Amino acid sequence: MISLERIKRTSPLYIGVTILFYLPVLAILGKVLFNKQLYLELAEFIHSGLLWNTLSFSVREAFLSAAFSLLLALPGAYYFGNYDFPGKRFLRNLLVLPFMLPGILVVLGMIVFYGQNGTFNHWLAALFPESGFRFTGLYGFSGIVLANVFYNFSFCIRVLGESWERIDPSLREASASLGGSRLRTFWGVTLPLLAPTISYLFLLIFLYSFLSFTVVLTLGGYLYKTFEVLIYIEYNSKLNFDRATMIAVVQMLILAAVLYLQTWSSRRIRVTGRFSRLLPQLSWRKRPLICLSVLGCGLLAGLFFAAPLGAICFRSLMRRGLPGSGWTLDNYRSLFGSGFRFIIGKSLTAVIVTSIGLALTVAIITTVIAYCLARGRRAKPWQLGDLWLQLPVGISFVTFSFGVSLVARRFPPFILVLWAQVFLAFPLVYSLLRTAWRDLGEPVIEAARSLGANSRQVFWTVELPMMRKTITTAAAYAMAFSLGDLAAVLMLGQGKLTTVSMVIYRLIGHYHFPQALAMGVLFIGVSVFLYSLVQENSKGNKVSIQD
Amino acid sequence: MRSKIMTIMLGSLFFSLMFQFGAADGASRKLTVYTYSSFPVSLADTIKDHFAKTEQIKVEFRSFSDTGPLFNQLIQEKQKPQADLVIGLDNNYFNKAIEKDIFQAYKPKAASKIRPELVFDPQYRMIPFDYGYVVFNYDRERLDRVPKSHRDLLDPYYKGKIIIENPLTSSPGQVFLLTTVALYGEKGYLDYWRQLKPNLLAITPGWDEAYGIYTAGEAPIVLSYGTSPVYHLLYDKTERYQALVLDETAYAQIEGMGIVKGSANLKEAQQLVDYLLSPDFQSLIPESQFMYPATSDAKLPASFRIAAQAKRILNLPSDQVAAKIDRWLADWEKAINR
Amino acid sequence: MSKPILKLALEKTYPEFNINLELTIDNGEFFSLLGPSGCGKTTLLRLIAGLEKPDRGTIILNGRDITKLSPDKRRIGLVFQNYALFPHLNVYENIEYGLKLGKYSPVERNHKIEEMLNLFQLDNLAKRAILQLSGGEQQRVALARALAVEPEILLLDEPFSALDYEIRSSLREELIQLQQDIGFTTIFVTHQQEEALSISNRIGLMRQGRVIQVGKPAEVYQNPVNIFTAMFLGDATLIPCRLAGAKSEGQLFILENGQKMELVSREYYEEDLQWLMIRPEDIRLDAENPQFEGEIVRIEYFGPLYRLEADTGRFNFKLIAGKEAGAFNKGTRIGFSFDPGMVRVLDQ
Repeated sequence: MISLERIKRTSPLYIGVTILFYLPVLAILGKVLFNKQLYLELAEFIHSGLLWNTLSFSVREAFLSAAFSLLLALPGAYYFGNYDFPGKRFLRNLLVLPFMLPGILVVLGMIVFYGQNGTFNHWLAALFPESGFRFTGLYGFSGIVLANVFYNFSFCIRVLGESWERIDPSLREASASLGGSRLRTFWGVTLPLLAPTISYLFLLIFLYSFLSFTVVLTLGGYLYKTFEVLIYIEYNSKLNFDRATMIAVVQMLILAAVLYLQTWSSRRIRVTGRFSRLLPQLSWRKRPLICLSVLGCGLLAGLFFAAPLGAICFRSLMRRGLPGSGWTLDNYRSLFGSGFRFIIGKSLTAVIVTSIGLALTVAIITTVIAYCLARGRRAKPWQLGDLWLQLPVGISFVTFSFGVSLVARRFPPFILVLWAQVFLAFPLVYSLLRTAWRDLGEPVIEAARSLGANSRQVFWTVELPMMRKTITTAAAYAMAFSLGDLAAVLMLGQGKLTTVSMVIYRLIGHYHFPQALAMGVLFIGVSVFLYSLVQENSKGNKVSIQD
Repeated sequence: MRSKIMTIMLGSLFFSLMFQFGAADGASRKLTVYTYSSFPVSLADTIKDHFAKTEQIKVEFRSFSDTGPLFNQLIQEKQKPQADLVIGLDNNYFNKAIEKDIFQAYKPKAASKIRPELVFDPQYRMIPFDYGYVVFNYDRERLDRVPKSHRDLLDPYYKGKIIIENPLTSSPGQVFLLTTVALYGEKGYLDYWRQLKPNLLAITPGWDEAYGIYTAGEAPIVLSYGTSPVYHLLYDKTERYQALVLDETAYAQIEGMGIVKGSANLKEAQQLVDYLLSPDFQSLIPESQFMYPATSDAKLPASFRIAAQAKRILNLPSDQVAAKIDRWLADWEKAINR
Repeated sequence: MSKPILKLALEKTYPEFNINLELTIDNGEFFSLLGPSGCGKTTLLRLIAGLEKPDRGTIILNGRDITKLSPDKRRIGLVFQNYALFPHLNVYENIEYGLKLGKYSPVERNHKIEEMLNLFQLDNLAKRAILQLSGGEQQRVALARALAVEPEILLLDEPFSALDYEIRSSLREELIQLQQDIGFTTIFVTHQQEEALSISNRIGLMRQGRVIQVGKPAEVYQNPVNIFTAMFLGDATLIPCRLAGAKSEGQLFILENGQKMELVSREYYEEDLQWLMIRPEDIRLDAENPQFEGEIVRIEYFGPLYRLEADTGRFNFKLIAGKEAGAFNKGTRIGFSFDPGMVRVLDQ
C-alpha cells in the first residue's frame, strides 16, 4: 500500500513540474500527431540509412566519451575523495567551469590548444623536432570525443569524489585485514560502493554526449551527425518543423529506453554509503609519495582540463588574440570602452549583472523545486516517477524551446528564458539532490524532531548544514547551465535579454574574437569569485585532524 | 552570514529585473521590427532614437536566433501579424516570402537610388537594405600561394588550409553552394565539391565558428564576406587579412526588408522604410554592419578600399534557386558524406 | 511510582503486521519492550514519539492527549539504534541542539550542558567532532542529548545493540544508576531477554503487533501466559500432556509418555490440553529416586554452571547442574526430579 498522505503532500509540485516540462512538448506533439504525411516520412526515416548511421555514430561517440571521462576522472576523484589538501575548495569550484562556458568558446578553446596551429602541437614540435609527430585528430571523430571528455570529466571528478568521501574507510580496512590486496579491495569493496555513482555518471555523460551539438557540428565537418544536429537543420534551415519534431520524438524514445534500462539495472546494484568522515590532511613530510602522485595526477588532469582554458586566457592577453604578437591588455580595456556599448547596446556591468541575476534565479528555482521533490520522494526507491523527472535530459532542447514559444507566446522573454533554463538544469540538479537525500537518512531528522525542532527548524539546523555541499554543488551546476546557455536566450529572449554567452557570441559575430576571449576570461573570473564567496559563507564547522 | 547571501542574491535579482524591464515608457505609437540576433545594436539604437525624437514613435525590435526561425514566426503569425517591418531576410528567402504572401508592396521614395542589380522585385514587396559578397578571405602572412580561381583551390597545396560554413546551417555556406552551382552548373558542382573536400579543414555550422578558427590561426583561408578585411583595418590597423575575388566574380548576398501584410501601422512602417534608405542612415551601414549600402547616394568610408568588389555579380535567378535549392542541398549532403 | 504517566490504546495497519494494543506506563519506571525482530516494538516507539501516526486510538502523556501533536511538541526523548547524532556539530553542540530550540536562557543552557557532560563523563570530549568518537562515546552523547531537554519520557531503541559486551554492560549499569538517581521514565526496546530481565521494573512482551504479557521480570519469567512467552524469556522444558482428572488438592495430568503427574495449580484447568513447562533451574539431579531418567544429548559449560539436555525417550529435558556435571559426557545416563509445584500449565 502506498501512503496516501505522502502522495498528497508531493503531488501539487509534482504535477506542476510535469506541466512545466511536458506541456510544451505535448503542444508540439499535438501539432504533429495528426499529420498523416508524417507517418510516411517516419517510415522512410526508419528505413533510410540516416537513422541507423546517426544512431550508431551517436552511440559510439557517447559511449567512448562517457568511458574516457570516467577513466580520466578516477585518479582525481580518488584524491578528492580521500584527502584534504590546501586549495581543494578552490579546485572544486574550478571544476564547474566547462559547463558554464558557451559551446562556441569551449570549441575555440579546444582549437586554440589542440588545433593544427595550437599550443599542443607547438609543444610536440619543440619536444620531437625531427619526428614531425603532430596531433591532427581534432577535426573528426577523436576531436568530438576529446571535446566531450573535456566538457564532462571535471564534473565526474567532483561528483565521484564526493561519493568517494562517503565510503566508510573501515570497510576497506576490513577487506585489507581479510588479506585483500589493494587492488582486490578496490575491485571488491570500493568499486561496488561507487558503482551507483559511476553508472549514474556514465549514463549522464552518455546522454549529454548523445545530445551534443555545437561540438559535433563544428569539429565533425558534417561527416558526423547526432539527432540534435538533424533536428537543428530541419528546424533552423529547412524550416520543416514537423519533421524536426518527428526526429525529436524518435530521439526522445531512444533516450527514454536508455534511461529505463539504467533505472532497471541500477535497482539491483544500488548501495548507499551514508558515511561521513574527516579526511586526512596531505602533508609533504608525512606522505611524500602520495603528495607526489597527487601533483603528478593534478598536472596531467590540469594539462588536459586547464590547458584549453589557459589557452583562451593566454590568447586574450595577446594583441589581436594571436600568439607571438605581443602582450596587451587592450582586449580587456575595450570591454569597458564605448566600443562595447556600440556593439552590445548595454554596458558590461549591466550584462554581467543580468547574467548572474538570471543564473541565480535559475539556480534558486531549480534547486528549491528539485529539493522539495527529492525530499518528498526520499523514502522511495528510484522508480518510474524519478525516471519521469529525468526524462527532460532526453528531450531535444531546440524542440522544447519551440514548444515554450508556442504555449506561452505572451509571456515576457525573461520568464520564457527562465523556464527553458530551469528545464535544462533540472534533471542533473534533481538527481544530485535525490542521491544526497538517500545518503542523509531519516534518523537524523527524526532525532531533531524529537528534540523539539519543527520542520522549519529541522530544515535550517539539520538538513541544510548536512546537505550544504550537495546543495551548493547542485546550485552551482544550475547556475553553470544558465550561464552557458545560448540557445534559450537566442530563441526565446527576443533580443531583450543580453547575457554573457550572448555577448561572446555577438563579439565573435562582429569580428571581436580577441575581445570575446577576454570577455570569457573575465566572466570565468567573476563566476569563480562568486562561487567561492558562496562556498566561503557556507563553510560549516570544519574540524581537521592530523593523522 | 545566511542573510548576507540572501541579500546579495535578491539584490542582484532585483537589479537584473530592473535592467530588463526598466526601459518601459508610454510612447503612444509603436512600431515592431523583427530582425535576426546579430543585427547591430548601434543601428537599432539609431533607429529608435531617430523615431522617438522626430516622430514620437517607439520602435521595438524583436530579434530571432536566425533568419529561419524569424521567417517561421512570420508564417505562424500570418493571421494575426505582430510585426510591422522585417529586416534581414536575404535573397534566398525572397521566393518563399512571395509564395507565402507575407509582405505588402511599397515603393520607397528613394527607389530610384537603389542599385538596379539589387532589386529583387519590381513591385517592391521585398526592398533591398544592404548587400555584400560572400568570398574567401586569406591571411597574407600564412599563405604563400594566393589562388586566382576556384579551380586553384582544388590543388593539394591547400590541403587542410580551408574552412567553410555548412550550406545546410549557415547562409554564407549556402551562398557558396550557389556560387559553385552558378560556376559549374547543376551537373558539375558536386564534382567540384568532391575534389574540394580533402582540402577542407572544417565545415562549421555558422560563420562565427569558421571565422573564429580562422583568426585563431588554424587555417589561412576561410569563407567569409568581402568586407571582412575592413574590420581588421579599422580596429587592428592591419591589412594582413585580405579578401579573395576568385574568377573575378562573386555571389552577392542581398539583405532585404519588407512591410508585413496586415500591419496596423502602415504609414509609420513606410516612414521607417524611407528613413532606412536615406543617405544618412545608409552611410552608417558600412562600418557597423560591414556590408555595402543598397543606395548609390550613400557615402562609402575610406576603409572600404580594402573590401572586395566583384567585376561581375554571379547571382542565379531567384526563382531557379527557390525551385531547386532543396534538391541541391540534398545532393550536396549525400556527396559530402560519401 | 505507581501513578501512570503514559496511556496507549493504538491501532495501525501495516502490510506486514497490525499494531493493536493497550499499554500503561507508570511514572518513573523502567519499562522494557521485548520481542523478536519485526514484532512492531520499534514501530510502537515511533508511534509514541509521533514519527508515525496511528490509524485509530489515543496516546495520553501526563494527562494530555498528544495523539495529534507533532513530534517536536511532545517532549519525548528518543535515542536511536545507530544514535543519529548530527555529524556537522561537535559533542557540545549536539547536546546544545535541543536546548537551543527550547526556552532556556544561555546561562541555563550552558549549565545544563555542563551537567550532562559531567554526568556522562564527556567533559574532555566537548569540542570533539562526532566522527572522532567511539561507539560507546557516541551512545553517551546520544543519551546526553536526549536527556538534556528533560523529556517527560525517554524512549530507547535498542541503544546498546551496536556495542561490544563490556561497554554494553557498563553503559547499561550507568543508565540504570542514572535512571534511579534522576527518576525519569524510560521505555526500552530490546530483543535480548537477559538485558530486559536484568534492568527493567516491568516488561512488556510483544508479538505481531500485540502486547501479549506485561509484568515484573520475575513474574513474567515464572508465569508466562503461553509457550511463546515461555520460550522467548529463557530455556524451558515443554511437555505435551492432557488433563486426566481433578483431585482435591490439585489436578492430575497424563503426560504423553503415559506417566501421570499431580500438580497443585492456582487455577483450575478443565480443557484437555496442553503443555507443561518447567524451567531448567527447577530440575535437580536425582540419582536415588529419579522421576525421570535420560541420556545426555547436549552439554554446555558456561562458567558457573553446566547446561544439559537429556533425552528421556519421549521428550528432552533441559536442566542446569553444578560442578558434579563435570564428570558427564554425551551419552551419560542421568536421573532427575522436580517439584510438581514448579510446573506451569500453558496454552498454545
